[in-house]
Amino acid sequence: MYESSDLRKGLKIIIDGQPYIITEFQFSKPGKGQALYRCKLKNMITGYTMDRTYRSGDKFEPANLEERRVQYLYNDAEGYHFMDTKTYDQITLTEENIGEAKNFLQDNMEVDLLFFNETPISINLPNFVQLEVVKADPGVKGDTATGATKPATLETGYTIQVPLFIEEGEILKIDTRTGQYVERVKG
Amino acid sequence: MDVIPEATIEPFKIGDEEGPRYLLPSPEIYLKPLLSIGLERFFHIGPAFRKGEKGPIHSAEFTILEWYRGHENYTRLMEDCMGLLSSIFRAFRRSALVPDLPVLQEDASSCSEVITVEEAFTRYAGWNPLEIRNEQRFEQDIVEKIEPALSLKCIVFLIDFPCWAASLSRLKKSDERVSERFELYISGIEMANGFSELVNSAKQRARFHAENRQRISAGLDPEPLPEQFLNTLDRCPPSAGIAMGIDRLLMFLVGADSLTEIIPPFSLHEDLTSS
Repeated sequence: MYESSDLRKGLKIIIDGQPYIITEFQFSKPGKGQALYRCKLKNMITGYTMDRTYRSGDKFEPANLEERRVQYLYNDAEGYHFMDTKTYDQITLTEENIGEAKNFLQDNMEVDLLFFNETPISINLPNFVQLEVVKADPGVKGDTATGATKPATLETGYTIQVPLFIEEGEILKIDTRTGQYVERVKG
Repeated sequence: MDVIPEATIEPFKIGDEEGPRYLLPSPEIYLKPLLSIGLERFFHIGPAFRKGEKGPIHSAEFTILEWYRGHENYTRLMEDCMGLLSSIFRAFRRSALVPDLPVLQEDASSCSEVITVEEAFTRYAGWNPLEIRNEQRFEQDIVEKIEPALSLKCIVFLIDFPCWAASLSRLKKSDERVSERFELYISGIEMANGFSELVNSAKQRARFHAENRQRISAGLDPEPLPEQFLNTLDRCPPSAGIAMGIDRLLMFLVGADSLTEIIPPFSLHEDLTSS
């Protein structure tokens, strides 16, 4: 268990059965009064944030979080299937758990899964992935100077805006944090 | 050496075979008894140590200025504060080393006000702690409502704390719901805590027991009662005493945001001792 005096930015604790991370922390102590530990907390599953003030004597359960390296196998009606690269255990995440990450998953890609009490809660992708363009309309000539874009569909089914010169079959570098096109990868 | 049993101040214990010893959390334990031998005006300035205090305006080690006046009450201490601040403001105005703080351009006395705890809570927190006793809500609202409101003002004396937040201070004769205690705030930062001293050993002993009960309910060990200190109390004249945080005052005067800009990061700082 953690004590109030252990609280600090970045600490992960359980509140009402949910894992929270302390994103902001302030110690205050009114004259002759008790110490107050004021925290801004973020739910690590839902992203919900809240303010809480704690006191000396409050106790906190550490959030049992574990990161495991897994390999993406495939997806089907059940969800997205991964394999632990150490134990070869198979893990399935629902589409909801996966969120935006489904746009960037390629077969055999290695990613980190965050587990809370043995349940996978989030997926940590590499910052950049390389994906093939499977569908892109031909660019309209003569309109390249304005930085105009057109939609292109990638091998994962994800559609993004790309420069007009991009053609089907090309490999693109995508930033998974913003979901945006970065550059064309020379094939 | 003894310590004053306080529910909310945790001293560093450095006990050995000769019995428990403490780094001084506050000099009142040896200073206040000087009143009982007839000293009327004296001060102490030096380091003080409090375990677990760490934040922009808290440090486990800091510099405390404490002074006493025999045959006076807390009103005289507020005058002392104004005299001290006026001369500090004047000195800093002449110094080219400090940023151009608008408040320093004024005469300290022209930007100070006195407000009772009852007025401040009624105005800024919407309830009256003299009618409702709720320590937790009181402390939380001081931090979350009163201090932010006072931060818009220059010098504020927040006076007449509820009798249950008195600790070592005397109750007001004209209104026993409050104690003759004040906190000095500058720009919303608590700089000093002063009061008319309780000089009755029986009452003080009962309050120390109450502090120890609070310590026990907070999961802390009770402190042994400082018997020598208690023995001197009944011989003290009516008196007043105050403690001021020098580092915080300096922090304000040079326009710093945190004590880390004032106090060098050495010795008892937790990030060093715990690593």
